[in-house]
Amino acid sequence: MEHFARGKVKMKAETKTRKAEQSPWGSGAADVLLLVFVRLPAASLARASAVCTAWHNVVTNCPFVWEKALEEQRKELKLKLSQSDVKLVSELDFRTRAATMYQRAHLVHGKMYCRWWKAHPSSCTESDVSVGCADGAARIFDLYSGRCSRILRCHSAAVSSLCVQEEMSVLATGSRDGSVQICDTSTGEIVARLLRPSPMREVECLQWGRNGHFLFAGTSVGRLCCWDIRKQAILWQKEHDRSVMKSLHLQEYGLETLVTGSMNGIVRVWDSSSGNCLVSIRPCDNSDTGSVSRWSETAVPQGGISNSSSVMSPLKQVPILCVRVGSTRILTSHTDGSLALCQIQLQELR
Amino acid sequence: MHFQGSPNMAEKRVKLISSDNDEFEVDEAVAFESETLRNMIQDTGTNVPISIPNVSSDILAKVLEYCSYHAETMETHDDKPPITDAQIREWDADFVDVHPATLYSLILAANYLNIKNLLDLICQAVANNIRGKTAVEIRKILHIQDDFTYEEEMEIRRETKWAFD
Repeated sequence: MEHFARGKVKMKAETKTRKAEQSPWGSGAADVLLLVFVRLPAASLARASAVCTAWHNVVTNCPFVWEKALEEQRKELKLKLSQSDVKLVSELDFRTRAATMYQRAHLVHGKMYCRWWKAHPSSCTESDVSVGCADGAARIFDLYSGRCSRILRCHSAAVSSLCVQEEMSVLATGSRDGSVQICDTSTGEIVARLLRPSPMREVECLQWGRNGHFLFAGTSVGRLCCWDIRKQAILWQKEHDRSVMKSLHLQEYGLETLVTGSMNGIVRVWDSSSGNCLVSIRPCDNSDTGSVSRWSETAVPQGGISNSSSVMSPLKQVPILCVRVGSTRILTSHTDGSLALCQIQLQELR
Repeated sequence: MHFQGSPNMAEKRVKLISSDNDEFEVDEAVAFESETLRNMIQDTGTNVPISIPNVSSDILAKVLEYCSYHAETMETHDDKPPITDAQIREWDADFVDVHPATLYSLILAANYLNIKNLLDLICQAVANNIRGKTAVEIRKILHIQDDFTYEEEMEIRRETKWAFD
């Protein structure tokens, strides 16, 4: 490398560039940024789009980077998804598919780390203005005036669950007698009475699916049911155990993956288009299907966090009242007033 | 890369002139790492100095440092043991361990000079650096200002929620 010595001497110290505080990355040219972005898996790309305006514009204006990102992500998760259990709907755009895959890989194949908090004994409720009542009516309250603005009389038995679809301004209500109806929230008319599945008992929870085309219901006999609203027919119904299904949830970005919580303390992850149960998890239990979890932390409300590993008491079968899912975690609230956050991490590949 | 095994070719020297008029003299084999320079040399020969108007001296020096090392790894010496892949990787890792602003200029230079390996190396290094990091961490790593308005920030949070959830 002697021949190069001359060039090396001439090389100015890097301090010159370091003095310029503002880095060129923030105002980077689109082609340079793209060279880097095509090497990122989808989740990192989504984060990169939140860095600054220039980055956001590049990610938004070049939809093909999502295709590359999906590929990168598939590479990154390859060991996890070898059996192609993510049957992603091909008409979805790449970004949505990436989000779905990311969530699915974590929920189904991840390793679970649980944190528990002791909370006050009350159930999680949606701070919604629609209220289901024991007289079989749904009352819609105006939050500003606090007055009841509309009463939807839809059921003969008590309304046990309801769910609003904001885009179409319709409200689905489920009743103790097992009937499910859909009302228009602006006119108060009943749009549809859904056919009830044969051993359908009390409807415990309802959730809208993609574009308001699908409606999911969980019942008191542990049956999960999906209607196609356009056909007003049952698309599929499944059950794994006969425990009361208290709560179900899916995310706007991950409409393909549905999560339910039951009174026997089990969280199940379902494929929302086929109704297949993908995985069953019991928060803080080592015995379940491949998902290894451990008791990592215990927090008490009054004084800070105590990291006592001796509190390994396996809280088996604490009934779940409410479940909420993210792409890498599941939050559950329980009848004993505790709250569990399951953080799911993918194990090191190799 | 072997240049038809002609020993006299390796002795040819090429003169390069950076944007701030500094002159660099390198072996032809070193310059040939760049596809752009190779084409220029094949057009004009090695007698005329080649000016590279959009690459500054310090960046060109860095680029040539890379080129000469990698040209060297291609050569086989009887007296020296060959350079292993692990050694090359280590050298490359050291090479990209510089200020992000330098990396950015290096990408521009590698892109212009058409040095595919160098371009891949740097882009991959930057990508690895920001992979799995939050937006705040990325801003810190690459010294980027957060220029979103509150409304934009909220909108972006909503659309990228899945990656943080």
